[in-house]
Amino acid sequence: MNYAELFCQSHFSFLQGASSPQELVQQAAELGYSALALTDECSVAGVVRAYRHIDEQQLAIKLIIGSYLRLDKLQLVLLCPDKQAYSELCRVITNARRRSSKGNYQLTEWDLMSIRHCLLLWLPDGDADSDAHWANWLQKYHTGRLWLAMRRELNHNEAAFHAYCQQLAQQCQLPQMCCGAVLMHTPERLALQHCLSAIKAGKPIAELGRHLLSNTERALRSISKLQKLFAADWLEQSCLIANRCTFSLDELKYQYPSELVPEGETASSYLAKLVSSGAKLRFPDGVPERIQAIIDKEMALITELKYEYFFLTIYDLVQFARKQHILYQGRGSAANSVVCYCLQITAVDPAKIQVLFERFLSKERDEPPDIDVDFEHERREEVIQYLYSKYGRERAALAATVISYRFKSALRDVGKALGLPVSQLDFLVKNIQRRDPALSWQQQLATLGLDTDSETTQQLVQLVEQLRSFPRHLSQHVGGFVISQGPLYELVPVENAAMADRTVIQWDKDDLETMKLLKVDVLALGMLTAIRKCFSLVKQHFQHDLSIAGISVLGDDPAVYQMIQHADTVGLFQIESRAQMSMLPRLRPRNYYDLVIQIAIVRPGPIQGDMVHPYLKRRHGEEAVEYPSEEVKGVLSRTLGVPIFQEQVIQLAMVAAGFSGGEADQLRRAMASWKKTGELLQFKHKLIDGMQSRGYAKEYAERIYQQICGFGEYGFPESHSASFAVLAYVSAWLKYYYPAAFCAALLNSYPMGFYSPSQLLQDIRRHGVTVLPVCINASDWDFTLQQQGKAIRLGLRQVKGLSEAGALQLVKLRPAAGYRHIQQLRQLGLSRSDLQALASANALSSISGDRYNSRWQLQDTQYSLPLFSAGSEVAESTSAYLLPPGPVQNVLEDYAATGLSLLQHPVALLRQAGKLVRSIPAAELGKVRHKSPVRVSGLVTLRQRPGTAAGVTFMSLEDETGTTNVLVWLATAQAQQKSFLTARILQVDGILEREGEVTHVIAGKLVDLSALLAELSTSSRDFH
Amino acid sequence: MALYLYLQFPALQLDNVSIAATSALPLAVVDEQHRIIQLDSLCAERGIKFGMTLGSAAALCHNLQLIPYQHTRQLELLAAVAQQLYQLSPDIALDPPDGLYLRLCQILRLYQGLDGYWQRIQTVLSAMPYRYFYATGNTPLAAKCLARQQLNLISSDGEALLAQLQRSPLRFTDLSPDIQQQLQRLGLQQLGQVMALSQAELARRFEHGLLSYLGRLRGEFYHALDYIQPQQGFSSTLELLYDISDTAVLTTPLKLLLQQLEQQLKRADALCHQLLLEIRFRTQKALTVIISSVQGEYRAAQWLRLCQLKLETVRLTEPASGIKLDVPRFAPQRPDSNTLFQPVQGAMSALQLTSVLQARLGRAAVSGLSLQNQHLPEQASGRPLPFSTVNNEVPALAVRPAFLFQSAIALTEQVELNSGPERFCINRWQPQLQRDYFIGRNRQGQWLWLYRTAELRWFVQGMFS
Repeated sequence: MNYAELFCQSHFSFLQGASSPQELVQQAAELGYSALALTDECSVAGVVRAYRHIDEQQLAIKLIIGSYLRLDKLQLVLLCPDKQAYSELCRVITNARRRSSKGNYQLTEWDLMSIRHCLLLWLPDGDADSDAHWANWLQKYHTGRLWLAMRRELNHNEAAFHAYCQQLAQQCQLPQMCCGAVLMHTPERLALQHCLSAIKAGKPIAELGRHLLSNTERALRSISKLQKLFAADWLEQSCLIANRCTFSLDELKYQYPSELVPEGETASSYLAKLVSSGAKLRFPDGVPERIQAIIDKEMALITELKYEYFFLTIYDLVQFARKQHILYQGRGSAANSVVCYCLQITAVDPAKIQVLFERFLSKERDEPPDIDVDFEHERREEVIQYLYSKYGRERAALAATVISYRFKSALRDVGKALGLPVSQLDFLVKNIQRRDPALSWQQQLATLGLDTDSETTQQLVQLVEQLRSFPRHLSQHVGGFVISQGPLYELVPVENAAMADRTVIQWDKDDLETMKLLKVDVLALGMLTAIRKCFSLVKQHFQHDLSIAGISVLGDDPAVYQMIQHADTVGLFQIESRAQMSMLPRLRPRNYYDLVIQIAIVRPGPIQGDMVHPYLKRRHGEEAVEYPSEEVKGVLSRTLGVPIFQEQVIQLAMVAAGFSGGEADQLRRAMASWKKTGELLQFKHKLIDGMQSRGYAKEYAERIYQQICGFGEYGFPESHSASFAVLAYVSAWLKYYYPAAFCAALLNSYPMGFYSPSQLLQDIRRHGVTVLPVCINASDWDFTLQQQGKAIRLGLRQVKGLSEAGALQLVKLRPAAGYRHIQQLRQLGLSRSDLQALASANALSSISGDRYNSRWQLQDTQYSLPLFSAGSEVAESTSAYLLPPGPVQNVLEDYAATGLSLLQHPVALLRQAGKLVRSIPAAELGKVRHKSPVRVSGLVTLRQRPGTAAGVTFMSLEDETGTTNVLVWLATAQAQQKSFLTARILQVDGILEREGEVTHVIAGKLVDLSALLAELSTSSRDFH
Repeated sequence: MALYLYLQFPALQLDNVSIAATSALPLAVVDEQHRIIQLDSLCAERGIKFGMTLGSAAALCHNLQLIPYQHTRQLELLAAVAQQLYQLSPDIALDPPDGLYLRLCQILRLYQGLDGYWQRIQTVLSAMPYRYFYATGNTPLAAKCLARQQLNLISSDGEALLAQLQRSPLRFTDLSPDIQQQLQRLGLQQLGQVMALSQAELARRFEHGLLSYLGRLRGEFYHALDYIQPQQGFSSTLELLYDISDTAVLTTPLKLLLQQLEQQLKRADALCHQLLLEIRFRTQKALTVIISSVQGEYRAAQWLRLCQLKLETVRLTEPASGIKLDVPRFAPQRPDSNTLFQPVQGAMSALQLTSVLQARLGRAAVSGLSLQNQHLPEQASGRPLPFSTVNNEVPALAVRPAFLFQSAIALTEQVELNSGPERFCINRWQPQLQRDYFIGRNRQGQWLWLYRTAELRWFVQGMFS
């Protein structure tokens, strides 16, 4: 006996289905079902996963695509017998989704009336009037494609309902079939299903009572059981319907938009033409033979794999950006090709690195090409709007990102469903430590006051574990666009995103990969904005035309690399973090490829896999470079035998552990999502066994596996590092030759990067650049260069609370001689808050002395009366305010109003007041010997606890001379939590350690000095 | 010159809890915004501060015990403190949530000056479990500002008090955060600096709130305080002339107290729902008997009847030496809602009958019946308090018997099954534990509601009428 389940909802029917599509098809296949229709509510978001699972596991079950839909009391399941029906279903879902806000849908009668190809299973509601109406209505439009679906859920009064349904079927001459209305793959998911229902209802499980499923009949049931429950002809009918459904996702053929190719050209010929003219531009002295050979090889591969349109689409996009003077940079597996260099997609000069195209794009690995294009973050929207206007909203949409339950959200929702008090859940969520792998969250519950033996706690633990990784809603991908030849909604449903005017498709990037639909990543990058702004400033003040490609072509500049080697990298792209800075003096990058390695090596993958030290030793000649085999040498020679890039790990799995191309591709996907799904574990044995059987040491294999785990979410491929290294170098070059312009450009692109404006300005002052305060008579909105480009003038944008419109008005209407009275500012129509913000930032000092006086004058309401608003030169209030701010107040107010102070560092104030006994300034730590006790004090500018360094927290203490790096061990932090967590100004007694140029203080005693500054501020103001 | 005392109780709710159970763990009260608003000394040692968010506090102290803030409870405690002090100092005004104003000028003569007065007040305060801070001032706001600085200052020296007031940081004033911020942004940190500025200049720059506050602080503007009245309620004790060992005899002296109560209730046009009758003995601890009336009552005769019924169930182990009758609160009289034409069913209304039954059988023995929103038959009906609002949202199911057995009975007779099954999982965590319910008829023609367990054992759950 066969059975086809035609109504089955996965967890993509959010908060209803309690099993994944993969679990459902797996279980259905094991139960011997001939087919399973995945029919999520107004969604096909799960079908590709089911399709992929069936394919990967070679399951003998047919997947039918469908969807469950509701309209008032009408409940229907639509099934797709053929491709036309599938397009129809996508259109209906799209229409219903687009009418409604994110996450909801609104079906209309018209949607249902227009269905011509889908098969309809009708689920009567039990309301006689409504059912009679819909039975006739459905019969009228869908005769021959309509069935009455019978369910057996063994619930209250089912026999009467069945009799009613049969009567309906007879009256309306409807054929009957049966279905399971499945929500779970096994009965064991009942508790989770109850929990999901409770989350959906926003009430605890205990309050839902009869709204919960009363039994497990909505799990997949054995065929023998179904035979007992349903009449044989109904079961047979279900199989007959399934037989009519011949559509498979294989049939979906993606077509690129054809308008990219001019008439009379083919995609290949047009691309070849573009590459050839691009090559002339890139190589004005003629294309070297070696390069031409690579171009020919790449073009052959592109033609073979039919990727021409993909390259043309990207080309079109970057051409738009070029015309609009939007800076961009391509990266990704296919980006670092000579073809992309010629098409001006990237600026990575292939002459400088030995790019092997196959390294990135491989026939064997069967990976789709990957080109991400980063644009200036402030102007990416222009590119997105260009895409929408060129292809229309029907043909372009963003890919989805499936937002899944993470530990904290799962704990919170399950806790609420189990009726735990919200304050207790908040407490748990805030206090469960997720960083320490040795301490599981379950163990921590006991220390946080939960009785781990109690039933509720055990249920909490079990449900949280089950709920983690369950999808919660669809969100928009950061920038992955899908563009098609025909309307997208015939390929996949489109729905509204939370952001206005944004639409997303119902599939995420993995689904797109499975379906071989190519996506174009349009991403935003702050550094590109900063670089473009720096180019403009350089042009304006120094009349030099700069470009990324232009700087790259100049070749590796030893002076720039020397700066990088000394970790003088504040503000630079990718190599400015604490961890990067401590690595730079050790790795000492000397050329472009060293930078590529530098960017990739300070990542969890290489660190967890313990690959950093071996690499450094080999680089410095302290360890021999050896390869366990020739194959491995081929993969690892460019990184001295140590795997550093993600691609190398994948290639190792292929050459050393015998993974096939398909398996390697699965490994790559598992790596990307292993934190979410834990799928990586299944590869562990295969990898280690595979390597051992090929003669590699177990230890070596284990280390490779560790590194794969580390790569997980933070994996860094060489193809991306190669592009980032270009920007890192360009930013370093700009900082070295035009420090003031570079710093001003960074600040004008803020927020971005690792450092606060205060830190950036302190750094640039140490480089000899003068920084001038913000002033209504000298500042523009942006930071500007003054004094022949040698000084930076603070921009009004740095003033907290000042509106951009107000600031622009102020600048636009500024008299040639500048403002002279506060009354002039009032007459500009600036808002009260704008004026207050200017006073706070001491921007009015040129007309009213100090900020207290400015405020006193601004607060005077007499001058806001109509009588005084007419005259242009009204005398200012005569009541002078005789309380000037002291130096401490000025510094504190500077920080409050602009986040920085040019006067004095707060730590310097404390030092002058004699509050810092024996504290050594950061700049003098160089004189302290290795391993000696030391006391340092400073503003805490960073508390960072990298996932890779178990239990260590990096702190940065900033004083008037520089920054001190402090390492706090877990035990130290725990013993002195109060100072550790809350101090803004901290004094640390510890031991200084030095390794080469890298100096840090290992913290011992921590003392919170935050209160000292407030004391300093009030003590000078005591009223006597 | 006028003189006021301000008392601040920084942790009323928390201190009240700690007397009931001393905890070795740090204890704090959190409000709805998850901020710490009351904390004990253990918390302070760990660095937890007033106003800190729960997250930061929890990070500092893992074993922090939390009590949610209850505003009503806090006000009750504050009012109770005021009532206790009322015996010593009649002019007391509440300053919720945690302060009291006490006007001193008139009363000081009675205690021969401020010191004497303060000693008496301290004696009462020290008998309470609450921490407190205090200060005197020439105006209510001055006293409050000084007390909130935890200065604990008792003085009637006007100049000294003013000097102290002028040194007060602005954060201890009642000025709105907006005004405080504006003042601070002019470099003004202390009250004296603000008081020194010209009022005319201030008026041009600040909203009315600042001048109004300063006027009341200086005593230039009238500051109306709402002084408390003694609490409503009834409490009367009767020492018995001779010891009584028979509860029936106790009703005679009790009648006197009930009549006093009736008089007071009539004056207040009120009734009460509950009496606390304390029976005192020579050697043993007093016994408290609670007598309730669901509908509320003021008549002594009716209360006496209920008391008699209740006392019948009480056995005295020692002769009573005295009785005390307490009525914690009165309730307003409600008009009788019975209509003129409603048939009189008996001498007693349903509510009265319930009161009688409860007095005789105990409160727990009398209940109503309601449908519960639950699948399992044993959970599907509830026993709410009599006349409590029935949850009407739960519809009755069509196929359910009128009579359910207290617990299911094993099936011992032959039954013809008619319909089913309806399946229930007994425990969502063990889906295999399930029952299949059927309707069947036995040989006597009775329709039974029965079920079969997963082990194929049969039980009868109920019968259809």
